[in-house]
Amino acid sequence: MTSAPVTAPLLPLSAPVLLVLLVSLAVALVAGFLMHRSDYCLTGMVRDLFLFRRAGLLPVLLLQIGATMLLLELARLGGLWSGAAFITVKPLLLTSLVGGALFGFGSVLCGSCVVGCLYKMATGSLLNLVAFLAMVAGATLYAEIAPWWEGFTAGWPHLPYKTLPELLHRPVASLVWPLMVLLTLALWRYGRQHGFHRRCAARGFIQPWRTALAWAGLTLLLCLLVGMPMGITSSYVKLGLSVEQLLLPEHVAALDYGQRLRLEYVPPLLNPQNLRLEGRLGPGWDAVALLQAPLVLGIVLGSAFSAWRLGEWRLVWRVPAWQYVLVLAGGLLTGLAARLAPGCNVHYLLGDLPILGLNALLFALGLLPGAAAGALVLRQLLTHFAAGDRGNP
Amino acid sequence: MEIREFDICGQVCPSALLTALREVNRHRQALREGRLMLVLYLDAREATHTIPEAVGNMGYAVSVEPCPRGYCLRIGRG
Repeated sequence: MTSAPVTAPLLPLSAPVLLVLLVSLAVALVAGFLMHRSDYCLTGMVRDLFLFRRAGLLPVLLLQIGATMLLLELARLGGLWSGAAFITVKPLLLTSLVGGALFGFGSVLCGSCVVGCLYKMATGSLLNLVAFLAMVAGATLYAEIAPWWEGFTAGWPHLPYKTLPELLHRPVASLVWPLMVLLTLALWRYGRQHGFHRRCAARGFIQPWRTALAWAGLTLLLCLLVGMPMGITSSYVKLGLSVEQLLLPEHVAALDYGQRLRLEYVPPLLNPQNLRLEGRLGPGWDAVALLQAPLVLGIVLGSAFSAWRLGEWRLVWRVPAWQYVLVLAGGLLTGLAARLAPGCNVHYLLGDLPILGLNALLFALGLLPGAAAGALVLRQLLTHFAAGDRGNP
Repeated sequence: MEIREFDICGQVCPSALLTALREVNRHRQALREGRLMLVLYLDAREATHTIPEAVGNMGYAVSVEPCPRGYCLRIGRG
């Protein structure tokens, strides 16, 4: 029998809190390391389909989604996981579609997504540090416009269902297994025609398909030990509002978006007291910070370690000025979109889509035309500006 | 033989591949006749796969080797 939840502050660190912290950090360290070794760019996987009209690494992304789906289903059948939607999964909202489209557009302009900029900036890329800061600014900007956006979208169609099985009133297995069979056949066919192995001269290169499978395993670990898959952009808002608080403390204190209760999180392990942690997007060390800050930090450190081990860490800042402008604009849009959605590609594609989350499906639907539009604009910009770039003797 | 160098280190993705394709198309005559070699310095690890694949499919020879700036790609006559 479980006892009634006990709401408690995070500090001092208790056993369940420490476990969540360490597991999240360890998972992110490995993820960051792998992302750097494989140059595992989630933005590029979607963008290249439209920019170069080739599948590129998109099949690898599908492999990761399929593998995660399989592992979670096996965990459910084995009784390790209840199969219930994660607490971060929301009922169907059309904002996911709009947010997905803007996210696709912005991230293609930016050259990276909310995790891509982390592993790239960790190798010394100033451009990607700018991208990260722009995304934080974009996510924080949403805190200012949230009342307007929520009012504007209040009348939009919505449904109380969180996942496709819920919507269709079907058992999870009746949808997941046929989908996995179809995906396996499609990937098998692709593998036979093109192969998943990439010839790459980069030092210490890890095949992207290995990273995809490893990341699926990491997602399972997070779901079992922490209770939810990876998600990081809430911490971007929290970081932005924490900085804003230093400058405008009264304004931040009055922001409803930051003060509202977002999460009531009960750590799943080592928690006999049924400790419950609250999370808000405003400044403060709470459940949102506990769940996401170690992921951000871990990805950065894991990637930096990989680059340092390979001798590839170097500060690179001399790039054409227009690219800073481009990345700034793209990053702002990406950060803003991640809150409009609300959620990013990592949260939706790698975490919610494997459990057939409805918002994840909408986000993916929006992401494709957004990325296509972004690729169109990026091609024009790169062609237009590149002629005046340095590099020619 | 003329050598044209391009430093694409740190630039927004996928500048490396787009630059390579643009320059190969711009100088295809000189490249095919062996009068020109393109040398690209880059730090995008993914590009050490995509450029040799794309440019190699166009019939050019591509070599990749590590260098202090990251990687050095040489594109010449196939």
